[in-house]
Amino acid sequence: MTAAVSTIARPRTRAGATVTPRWLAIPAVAGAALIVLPLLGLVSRVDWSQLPTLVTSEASLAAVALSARTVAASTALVVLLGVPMAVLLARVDFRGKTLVRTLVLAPLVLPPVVGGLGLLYAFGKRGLLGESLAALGIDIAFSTTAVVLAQTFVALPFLVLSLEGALRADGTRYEDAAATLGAGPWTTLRRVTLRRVWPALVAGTVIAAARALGEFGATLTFAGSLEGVTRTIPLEIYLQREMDPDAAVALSLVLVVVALLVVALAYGGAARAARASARPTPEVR
Amino acid sequence: MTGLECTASVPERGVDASLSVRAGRTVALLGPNGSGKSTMLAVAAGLLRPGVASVTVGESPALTCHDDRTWVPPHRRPITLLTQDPSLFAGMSVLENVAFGPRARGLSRDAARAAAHGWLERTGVAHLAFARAESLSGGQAQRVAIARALATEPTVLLLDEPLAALDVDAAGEVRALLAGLLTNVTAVIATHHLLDAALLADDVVVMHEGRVAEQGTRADVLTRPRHEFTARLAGRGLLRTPTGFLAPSPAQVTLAVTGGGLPGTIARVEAHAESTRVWVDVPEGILASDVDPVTSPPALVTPGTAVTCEIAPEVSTYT
Repeated sequence: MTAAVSTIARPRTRAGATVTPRWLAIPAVAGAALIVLPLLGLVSRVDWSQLPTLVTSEASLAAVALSARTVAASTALVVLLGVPMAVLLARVDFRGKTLVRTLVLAPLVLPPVVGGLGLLYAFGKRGLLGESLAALGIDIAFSTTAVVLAQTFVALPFLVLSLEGALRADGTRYEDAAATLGAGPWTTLRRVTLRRVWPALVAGTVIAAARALGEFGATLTFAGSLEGVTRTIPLEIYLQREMDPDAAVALSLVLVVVALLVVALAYGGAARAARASARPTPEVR
Repeated sequence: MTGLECTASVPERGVDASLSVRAGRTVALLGPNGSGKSTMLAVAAGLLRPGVASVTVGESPALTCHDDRTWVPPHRRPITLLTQDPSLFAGMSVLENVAFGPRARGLSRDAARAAAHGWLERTGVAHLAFARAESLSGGQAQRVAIARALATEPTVLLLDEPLAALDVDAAGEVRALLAGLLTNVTAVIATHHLLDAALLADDVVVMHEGRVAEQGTRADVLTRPRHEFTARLAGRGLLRTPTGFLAPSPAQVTLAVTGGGLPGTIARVEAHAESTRVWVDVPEGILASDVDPVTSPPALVTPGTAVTCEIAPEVSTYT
C-alpha cells in the first residue's frame, strides 16, 4: 500500500522526455497502424464458431504437421550451417570476404520466387547438381527435402547477420584471455565465444524459424504444393483462399498466433539472457 | 637462468625491442602509453604474430615459442597474460572462471575446482566462489582474474597494467596482494606507475618509442636514471653533463628568482599534496624542485619565469 501511495503522490523522475520531437508520434503511429490494422482485419473475419472444425480439418492438420516438421529441420540446419558461417565471417580474414558476405545476404533481398527458381536450377532434375544427385538416386525437387532447403535458403541470412554482428561487437578480448589460459580454439568457441553471444544466437535462430514458417514463394516454385508432402501452412492458406476463405482465415490466425508467440518468447528469453550474461564488465570501483 | 627471452620487430607499431627476464624475477616494463609495452607482451603471449620475432621460455630444455621456423599458438605456451580488464567469463561462477585454466590444461573437474579454491583463498576472495562473475566490483573481479591467471601455474606471468582500471584504494590493495604473490614467480608487469615498479619489481626495463631506453636493477634504474622519461617517473631531474648524468631529487634543488647556480626557465608546475613541484628547463636537461606556493614569490610557481637552480653539493655524477 505504502508503495502505491508514494508512486501516486510523487511524480516519477523521467529521462529523455524533453529531447524527442513530439511530431515523430504522427508517422510512428501511422506505421504502427499499418502493421496492426491487417492483423485486426484478419481477426475481424474469423468465424469463431467454425474455428475448431476449420483448424482440425484433414488438410489443415496435414499442413500444420508438415510445417512443424520442416521448420524444425530447417531451423536445425540454419544453426548447423549459420554458426560456422558467422564465426568465419566475423573472425577470419580471407580474400573476397566482402563478396562472400554480400552473396550470403542475397536471399534477404531476392524475391523468394527467384530464390525458388535458383534452387530448382541448382538441385532440380535438370539443375547444376541434378544429374550427380540423380546418379546417387536422390531427387530433391518437389519433395519434403525441397521444402526444408527452400526454408533454409531464405532463413539462413537472418541468423548469420545477427550472430556476425554480435561477434564483431564483442571483440576478441575474452577469446585472447581464454587462449593464454591454455584453452584450445574449440574449447574457447564453445565455452567462451558462443556463451557471450548467446542472446544473439537465440534471437537469430528464432527470427530464422519464424521466416522459415512463413516461407511461401521459394517453396511453391521449388517444391510445389502436394498435400502432406510439400504443402505447408502458407501454401494451404493460399490454396484455400479461393475455395474456402473461412478456412484460410482460420489457418492464418493459427500462423499469426504461433509466430507472435515464438517471437515474444524468444525476445523475452534473449532479453533475459542478455541481462544475465552479456552485461558490460563490472563497474570500476 | 632464463625465464623469458622476447625479441620482436613490429614496424606497424614502431616497435623493435628485446626483453629478457631471469627465472624467478619480476621485471617492471615501464614506459609512457604507446611506447610498445603491450605489444611486447602480446608477442610473448602469442596474441600478436609479427614477421620477425623470437620468443623463448624457460630453460633445460628451453621452449622455443617463436622464431623463423616455429610458431606455438598462445594456448600451447606456458605463458598467461593478465590485462587491466579482468575479462571474466560471463555465465560462469567465480570458481568456474578460476578452474577454467586448470581444466583446459587437462585436470579433472574436481581437481581443477580444488586448485581454483586454493587460489581464491590466496587472493582473498574465496567467499565469492559461487558468485556470478558479472556481479563483482572492479577490485574483486581483478583479484579473481589474478587467481585465474596463477591457477594455470604459468612458467611466465605477464601483467599488462593490471591496476590501471582500479581506483586508488582498490589499486593499493591489489598491489599489496601482488607483492606477496609474485615472489619467486617469473613475471613481467607493464606499468607507468612508479609505485608498481617500486613494490613489485626486481628489475626495470624502460621503453620509449618502441625501443628499450634503459634497463637494470630497480634501485639502479630508479635512482640513477639515464633517460628523461625514467627520471620524470622517478620524480627526479636529469642533467647530461660532459662528465656524466646528474639526477637530483626535488629536495636537492633550490630555486630562486635571482641567485647562484644554473639559469633556467620554469616549464611546468604540478600541484602535489602539500607542496608544488616546479620543473625547470636548463641547458643541460631538466630539474625539479618542490616549492611552497604560499611563502614563495608568485613568480616561482609561474611557467615561463627565468630562475636559477642550486643543486645540493652531495649530488654525485654517474655515467
